[in-house]
Amino acid sequence: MTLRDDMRDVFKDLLAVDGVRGVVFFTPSGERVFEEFNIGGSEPAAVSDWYSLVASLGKAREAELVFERGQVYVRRTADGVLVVVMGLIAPCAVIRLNCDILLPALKEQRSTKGIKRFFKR
Amino acid sequence: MIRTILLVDDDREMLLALREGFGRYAESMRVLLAGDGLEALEVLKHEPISLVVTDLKMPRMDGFELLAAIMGSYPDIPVIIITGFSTPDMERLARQGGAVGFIAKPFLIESLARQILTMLRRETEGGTLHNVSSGMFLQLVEMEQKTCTIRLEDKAAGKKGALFFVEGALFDARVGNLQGEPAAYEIFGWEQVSLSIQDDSPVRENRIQKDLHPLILEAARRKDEKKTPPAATRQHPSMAGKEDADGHLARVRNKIEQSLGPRSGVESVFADSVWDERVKRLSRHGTKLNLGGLVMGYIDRGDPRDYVVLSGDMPTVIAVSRKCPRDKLMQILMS
Repeated sequence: MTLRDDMRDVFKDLLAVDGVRGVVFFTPSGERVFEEFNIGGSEPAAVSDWYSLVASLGKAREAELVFERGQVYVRRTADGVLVVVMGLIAPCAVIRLNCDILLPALKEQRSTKGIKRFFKR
Repeated sequence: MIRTILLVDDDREMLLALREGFGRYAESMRVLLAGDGLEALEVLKHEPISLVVTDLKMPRMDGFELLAAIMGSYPDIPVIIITGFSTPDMERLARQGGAVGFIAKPFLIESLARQILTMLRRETEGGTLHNVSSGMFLQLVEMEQKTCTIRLEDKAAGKKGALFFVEGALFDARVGNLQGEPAAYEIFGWEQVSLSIQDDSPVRENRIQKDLHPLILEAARRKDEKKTPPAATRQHPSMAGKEDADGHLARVRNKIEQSLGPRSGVESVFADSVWDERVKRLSRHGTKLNLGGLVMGYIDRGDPRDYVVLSGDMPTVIAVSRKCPRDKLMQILMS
């Protein structure tokens, strides 16, 4: 199983939520660990663009941003930053709930399978 | 009048050939080039484009996505699709998406140029006027209950904009990537304009809830205010005055409390220049990511309270306790 498959497994429920266009996960230093956009979703942007968006939130640990043409949910964890890109009618509460479930799973994976291999030192 | 046409294609040779071919129409059109949809949106932000010609298959942002973005933010700009993979379904999708033309490659440059010139002529089918005061003229449009698109140019400032009327009501306005009331205020602040009238409106969604007369008066007031530098003690640079600001903040608070009751969790509603800057930065990033400007945000910084920021003419910050029903609050503010 490749690194991408591992991450896809963790984020698959999130990507399956109606209205979710894509998911990006990057390390605190801005290195992209995972990025997947659904078919018909927005074309992935440069990771530096997502990183700049998150940086402009300052020390926020969680943010829900509604833009004119879509929504972005940002969740900061010890391992990195999760960015979920959604359409305007996507249920953000469902996304938050999914993140509440999958982020501990991500930690669990770290302890059992060594998620540290996802991140460059 | 020379119009600016934006050609979008990832095939550089194709772009250069088209630009050369359009050289013979230099007295009617100036040509700008972009390599994909994202580049095109950047150009649209800074240049007064009259028409876009785009390929469909492109990296980063394809022609359909670009078409959707133009229809959302620049509905007065006609889009012609050119494609090497033409099928009836694709043409149907493009037309449903708002494209005014669909041309299969290969095509004759003259045939594309003719289609462009025909579309550009439509911009002035209802006539043109030079050096007029827009306010007086627009009130006539309202009285006549016209449905039309009025393109205006303030030659002194080198700015162009569009107003969209449906049965005499001003539905929307656009200057660059500014839309709705802020764009209307900008346009109504122009003193002497040249304007052209197109006898239909691509906009059917009403983004402007105010009548024309109060809008024109407010634009005049804002213009006067700009002439007088704001006092150093002003609380909020974009506000008409402290009273307006206080009124606005009270209205936001009332709206929340009326919907959520005393357990709304709202601790304070305020304007703050530091947050204004953050809102601007987030809007810039959103635009870069093709999501458009920021409308609203809910931010948890790990403090005992969270913050909701509202964009707009008067960016507003709402500090809420953790007891605040977050989704309900967002829903109320969105409405």
